[in-house]
Amino acid sequence: MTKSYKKNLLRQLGEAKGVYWLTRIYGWLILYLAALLGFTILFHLIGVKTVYALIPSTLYIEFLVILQLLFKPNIVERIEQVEADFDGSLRTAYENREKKNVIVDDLLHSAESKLKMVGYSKLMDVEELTYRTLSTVILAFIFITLIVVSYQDLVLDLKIRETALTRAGKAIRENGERLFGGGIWESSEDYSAPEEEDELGASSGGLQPGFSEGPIEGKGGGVGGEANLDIYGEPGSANLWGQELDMELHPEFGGDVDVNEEAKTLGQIAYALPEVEGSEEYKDYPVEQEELVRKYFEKLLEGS
Amino acid sequence: MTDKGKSLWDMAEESEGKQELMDEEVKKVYSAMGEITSGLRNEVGKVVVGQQDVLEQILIAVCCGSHALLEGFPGLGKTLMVRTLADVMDLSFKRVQCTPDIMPSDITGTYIIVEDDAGRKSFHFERGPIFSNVVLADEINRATPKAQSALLESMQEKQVTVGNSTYKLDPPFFVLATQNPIEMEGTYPLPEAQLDRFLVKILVDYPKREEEGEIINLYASEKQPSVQKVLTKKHLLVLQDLTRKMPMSEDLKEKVLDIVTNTRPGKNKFAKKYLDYGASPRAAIGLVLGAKARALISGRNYVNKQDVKFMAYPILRHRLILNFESERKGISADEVIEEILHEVG
Repeated sequence: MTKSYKKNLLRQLGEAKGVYWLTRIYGWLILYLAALLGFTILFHLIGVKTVYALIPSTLYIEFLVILQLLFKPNIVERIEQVEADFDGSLRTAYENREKKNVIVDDLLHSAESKLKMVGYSKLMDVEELTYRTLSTVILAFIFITLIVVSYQDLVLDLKIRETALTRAGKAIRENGERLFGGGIWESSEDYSAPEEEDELGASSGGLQPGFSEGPIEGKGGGVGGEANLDIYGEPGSANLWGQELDMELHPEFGGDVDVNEEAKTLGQIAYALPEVEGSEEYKDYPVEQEELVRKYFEKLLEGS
Repeated sequence: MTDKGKSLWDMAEESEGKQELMDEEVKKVYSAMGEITSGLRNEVGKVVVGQQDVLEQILIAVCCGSHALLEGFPGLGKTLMVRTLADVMDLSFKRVQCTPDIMPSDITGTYIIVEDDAGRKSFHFERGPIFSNVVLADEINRATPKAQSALLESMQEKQVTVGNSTYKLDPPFFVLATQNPIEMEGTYPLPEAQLDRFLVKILVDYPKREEEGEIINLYASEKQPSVQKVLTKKHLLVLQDLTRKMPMSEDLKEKVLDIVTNTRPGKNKFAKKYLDYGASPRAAIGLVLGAKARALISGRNYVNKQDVKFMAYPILRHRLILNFESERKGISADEVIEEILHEVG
């Protein structure tokens, strides 16, 4: 009788062990997938070949598996963790299974009967598995999004192509010039009508009489502001080929725009680009970047 | 001149097919454990109201075949409980009232001169009260150390040596001693070596108000309660055998070791602060046996953590020697045990 109780108990524990290890292997696989996706995304973003993501994710999962195998709870402990009713009886029965007496027989019998009532699904750490699966799904979604949308295209679009807003602005400006004549948009920046300009100039006076006369002769004129005595105004900046240029407009030089040396250089490079022959330029780029470079130049042309 | 006292159990062992007989008897007693323990509780409950924990701990000591020391104020029913328990278990019972002038021979027995029919005189060993199954040593701390020592050998070896002769005590044998904590005048506190021989030290507290009401009704009426025997000597021996057969997991044994070793000042900060000496390995054996016995009388077929925790108090409290610091701060042995149990987890 003792033999059959012991045999049944060991058989059930063996079954439970099988199920338990399957769930653990499943958990590890899911975790491996999540790690692989995570590293792939990271490598994709920092521009490292995504195939290298296999190395850290494999190392990580190996480390984790070894750690869990070293500190593995045995199946009896695991069952007692999830089924508090055992209260140590299963462990006691298992450890004393070789003893032969009336109490051990009874214990083996009761432990075996109780074990029959335990659903093996309880052995799974549902919370952990759910968390891992969800993480994998989210990471997979991010990965697919990055592959399909291509963030590099998006960045190029933002940098080079005219946005919808700038296109709208351009259209309004062109239509305005066509309807009301040129210069309307420039004068509007002064926030004043020509008459007001004269009055302002007259009342404030100009520093150089004869250069911009107001209604009172010999007193000078022009538009002046008390906040800034520098008639050239605040140094402004312009953007040329992505470079910020410091500029000052000097009326005495006839309103010509003065471009500094850096800007000239940039301009030369920029204007030189369309003259470069495609075959000569592409051969220097890495093959995997070919598509990116091609797109870059296409968008440059569209922008111009 | 060795008297080999034979119990029914011994006789059963000697009979034909002794193993089968034993097995059958063990199975029978084990299957009737629930009835036996409830019968014992009910019968003792007819005479002693309340004190269920005290009864349980005495039963545990009996199942372990060991001795118990009961400490409590006078009039709490210590002696009554021990006497009643002896009655319901069909055991021979003797009481020794310990006084400062009690002699060892008053406990163990002595040689007397006997004259036979032919007029020849010879020495005959007259057995003392120690030769019974249950010995109640009442107010044991009133006896002199010499008389207390007379109990030592019988308690540990379950034999008595008088002169050159050794006499085996008839099993089951256990000493249930009582002591009074308030009357310290003219007492001889038991030495540590003797205290260690008691498996448990049971604290007997005042009954609850409603229990005290029942006691008044019971003992102030015309009819005095009486009890029936529910357990034979043989069955008691089977119980002792079953106690030792009770399976226990390895991690619980580790826990027992953790608890006992943590009572030693070198092993634990709390123990170092409040104790001079910790528990002996005998305490570890006692704790395992006590936990097993508790599991058995609780009707379980395995020992659990609660058994170990519950038994830690009665088994360790008289084995811990408190230092001056604990006495100054009023820290009791039970508080030290509680802290150690908390640390061990």
